[in-house]
Order: sequence, then C-alpha cells, then structure tokens
Amino acid sequence: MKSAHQTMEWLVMQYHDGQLPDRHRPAVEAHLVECDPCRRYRRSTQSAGAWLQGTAADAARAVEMGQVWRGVADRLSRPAPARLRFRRWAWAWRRPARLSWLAAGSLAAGLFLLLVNPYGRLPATAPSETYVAFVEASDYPVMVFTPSQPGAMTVIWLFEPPKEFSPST
Amino acid sequence: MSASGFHRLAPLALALCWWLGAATAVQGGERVQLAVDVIYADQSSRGVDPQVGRLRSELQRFKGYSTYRAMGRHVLNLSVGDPGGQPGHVMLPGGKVLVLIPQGISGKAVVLLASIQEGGHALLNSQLKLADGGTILVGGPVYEDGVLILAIGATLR
Repeated sequence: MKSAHQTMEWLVMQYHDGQLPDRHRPAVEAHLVECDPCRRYRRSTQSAGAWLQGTAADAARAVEMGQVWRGVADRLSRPAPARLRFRRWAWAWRRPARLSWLAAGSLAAGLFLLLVNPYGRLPATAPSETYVAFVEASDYPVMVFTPSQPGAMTVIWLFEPPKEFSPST
Repeated sequence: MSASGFHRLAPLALALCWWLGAATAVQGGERVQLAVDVIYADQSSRGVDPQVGRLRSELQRFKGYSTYRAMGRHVLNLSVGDPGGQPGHVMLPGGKVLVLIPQGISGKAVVLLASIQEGGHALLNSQLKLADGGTILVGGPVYEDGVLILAIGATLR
C-alpha cells in the first residue's frame, strides 16, 4: 500500500510527464505551491529528464553512420562463399528456358543409352519373349526348365540315356 | 514459332528422328547375330571360367557341377530372309554339330530351329523363340567326364 507522500510523488511524476488526467491537475498544482519537498522532487525529475535527453542525443551523434555504410559496402564487395554460389547456380536452372534444355538433354542421353548401349553388348538376359516352342530328342530323355523368377534363362537339358535304352527300342 | 522456341525444341526433334531411324533399322534388318558359348561342365571343383562369368548365376543353377570351362565362342551372322533360312553350323567337341536356322523375325524376337547332330543323326530338334538380347541354354550332351552346355544368344541387326 502506498503512503500519502509516495502517492503524491507518483502524481507529480504523472503531472510532469503530461499523463495526469485534467481533473487532477489543479489539485497537484495547488499542492506544489504549498509543498517544498514535492517542488524539489519535481525539479529533480525535470533535471534528470534533461540529462537523459542530452546524453541520448550525444550518443546518437557519436555514431558515425558513414563508417557503418563503409562496412556494409565492404561485406557486399567480397565474393560469396562457394555454398551460396552453388545455390544461386542451381536456382538459375529453375528458369523455363534452361529447364527445356535440361529435359531435352536428359531425353537424348536416355535414348542413347537405350539404343546404342555403349558399355558393350547386351547383358545376358532372358526377356519374356524367349522360350522353347518345340523340342524332341529321339535318343535322350529331354526336359525344358522354364524359369519361374524373372530374368532367369530357359534351359533345355538332355539326360544321359539309361544303359538299357537304345534308339531301336 | 519464335526462334527461341525452335531452339528449345531442336534437340528434342533431333533425338526423336534418331530414335525413329534406329527403330526402323531394327525392323528392316533381316539379319540376326547368333552367339554360341560352348561350355564344359564337370565335378572337378575349379569354379567358373571368367570368360563365361556373365552366365555365372545361370550356370550355378545346375546342381552337381562345380567346374564351368569356356571351350569357345562362335558368332554367326545369318540372313533371315532366305527361303527356309540360312543355316549356321557350330562344331562341338566330341564330333557333334549344332545347326541353327533362323526362320523369321517376330516383333523383336527371332524364331530359330536348333538341332544337335552326331554322325548324321539328330540328337535334338527344337524350335526356339529368342528375344533380342535373350539367351537360352542347351545342356546335357556327354563329353569326357562331364557334359557340354551351349548358351545360344541372339541379337537383331
């Protein structure tokens, strides 16, 4: 709880700052005429405010903005780090004109790899169109192994005939 | 179309023309290249010959053999358009002969007659369909202490 004197100091400060509602201003002014401590308090508040304003102005004048801008210009004139240069370069490919060249180049490279296969002959694969249409062996038992897993090769195997087996039988 | 638009589409058009040309060449080429790898297999535990290393996984499906030795590679460039087909012959160890006759091209595959003969007698007659780049294995003819395995591959020209 504030004492009466503390309340008056608060009102004087509000008066000094122009924050006091108009209806209270006459009462505070009448009190300042009669009360010496409150007048001293008001003067000290005025002088403290003046000192603070002067100090802030001096501090602002002490900062030389020219030096600040010279520092900024110096930073701008330095080359960007490699990471930033790469990011700018990669970002530039987002332009539509460059994207069309990139797409055409990728398509041509893909067709080249598909049709020419520069890494040698075709690998030993067994595409789905590879199969045995017909097989017969008169002297040997024969079997055709069709792979169940994709990519495996079909095998025709001639088994050695049994000893008692002969073409005439 | 503006000049810049043409320049953008030019690489695409070139790639398309090239692809069409290549596709036409495959369809119109009435020749087939057949490659026959002759492999000897037995149980002497010497592994797979590097010359047939690309077939390693397929060969190792044959249980009971531990050695796969390349005995030769024969490449035949045969015409498909001749009446009855142009026969190709591959001499096999042990006096046997592999006869290959391409009968026609169906899509991107060749239809082929394959026969193994010995002394004028056919041990095996078969009709195969080999896709471009496809390979079929024919195994079992006895040779020395093991068997012969033939890897017959086709490439359309």
